[in-house]
Amino acid sequence: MTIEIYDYYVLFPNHQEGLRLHRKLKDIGIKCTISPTPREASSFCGMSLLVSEDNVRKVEEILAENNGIKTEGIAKIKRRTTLWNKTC
Amino acid sequence: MKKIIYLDNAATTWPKPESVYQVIDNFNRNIGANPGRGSSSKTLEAAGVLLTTRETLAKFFNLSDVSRIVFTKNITEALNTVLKGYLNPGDHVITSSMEHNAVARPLNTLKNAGVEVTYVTCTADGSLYPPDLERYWKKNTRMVVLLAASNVTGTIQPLQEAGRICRERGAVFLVDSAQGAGNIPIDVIEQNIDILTFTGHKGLYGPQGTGGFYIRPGLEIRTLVEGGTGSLSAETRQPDFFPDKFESGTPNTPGIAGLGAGVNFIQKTGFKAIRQHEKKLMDILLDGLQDIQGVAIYGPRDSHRQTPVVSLNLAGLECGELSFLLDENFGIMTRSGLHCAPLAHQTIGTLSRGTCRVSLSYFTTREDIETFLEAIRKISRAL
Repeated sequence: MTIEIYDYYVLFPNHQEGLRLHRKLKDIGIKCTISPTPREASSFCGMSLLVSEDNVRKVEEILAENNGIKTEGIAKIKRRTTLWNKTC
Repeated sequence: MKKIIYLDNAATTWPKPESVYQVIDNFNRNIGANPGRGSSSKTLEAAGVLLTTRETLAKFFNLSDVSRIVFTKNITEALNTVLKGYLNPGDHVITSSMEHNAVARPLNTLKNAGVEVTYVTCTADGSLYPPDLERYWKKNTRMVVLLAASNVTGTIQPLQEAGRICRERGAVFLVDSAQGAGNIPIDVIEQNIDILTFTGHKGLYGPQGTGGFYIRPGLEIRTLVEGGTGSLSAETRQPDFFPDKFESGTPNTPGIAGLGAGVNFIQKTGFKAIRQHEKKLMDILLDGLQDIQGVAIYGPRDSHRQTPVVSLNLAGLECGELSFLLDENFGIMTRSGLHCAPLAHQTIGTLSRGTCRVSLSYFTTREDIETFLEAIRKISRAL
């Protein structure tokens, strides 16, 4: 039986908002990876931020703060490959 | 090479800080990618350059929402976008008689389309008397447009008072900071500025081809240009969010990197130190000019009330001849003529003859000013 693994992509209206969150998360030490947006997740912007399941809640809390960073939600996508661990 | 004294900084500052040259070179040499297109690490580095400059400008102008800073190729494009994107036929707009053609010409086009335009006459030294704005107020007044300082006389306008009047009466306050940003304080909150337009290549020490505008949250305008933004690519409709809505096509990323470095230079050097240096040189310049036979000086003649810009004429010479003689015989660069501001020249009484304009920057030295004064003395004596 194969284990189903999910990735969490924070989606954005544009690169700028993605970079703003990336800088913010980096500042406070939450790991995230800039990634191309999976087609099934969004057509807003080609970049998204990949966060691990453990950190999704923390990221949501940060976004709930009034810091002006705009997102288009967080997409939960089933991983199709086990070639590499995308979340680092 | 012949030594050149560059006194045309109101047209564009030169030289630029060393860091500006370096940052632009570094972008072109080592980053080079197109921001917002795809998501390769290079692309993101380029997008990061835009964001960093936006953050630097937001801090500099005291505004909170960095996304609402839009980059344009220059302030003229910024002014056209906001004037034509906000005003509708039947609206009334008040502006001053010191405005540059970057404001007067789009307003003229809008006037032909049915927008009412009132020019408030400034005093002979170019100052706006704020209560005059109220005198011309109408029920349909939707906007006041004012330059921070005159490009002809350097006259600093009362932004704070004008902004307060607009806030009280419910009109949008649009500021043209082409002259002034980097020389005098521009504070979006304190001066009640709803829309701030800026150029990158003058007092902010960035390269030519940079500029933009800021619009306060809640205020919406139409676009002037639409196209690819790297976002919402599956749709043919223009994104409705900032800054993408107004930033179609590839931006001048190396230039914007340079603009960021220019503003950083101001912050590192100290805004006050720059102003102090320019004021000191202006005092020497104004004092010296007053003692030379035949010199007429326009504007406030007071370094506290003007940016480092002086307009003058020398009796017996056309302004163009004076600029030519300064260039040919002394290697001094000035600008003569009407400075794209016929309204301002009409206000100060020089529409028919123009002026010779001398403008300084932080890189102008005391020696430059003394050489200039000596040149004017020599020309005056020879007449």
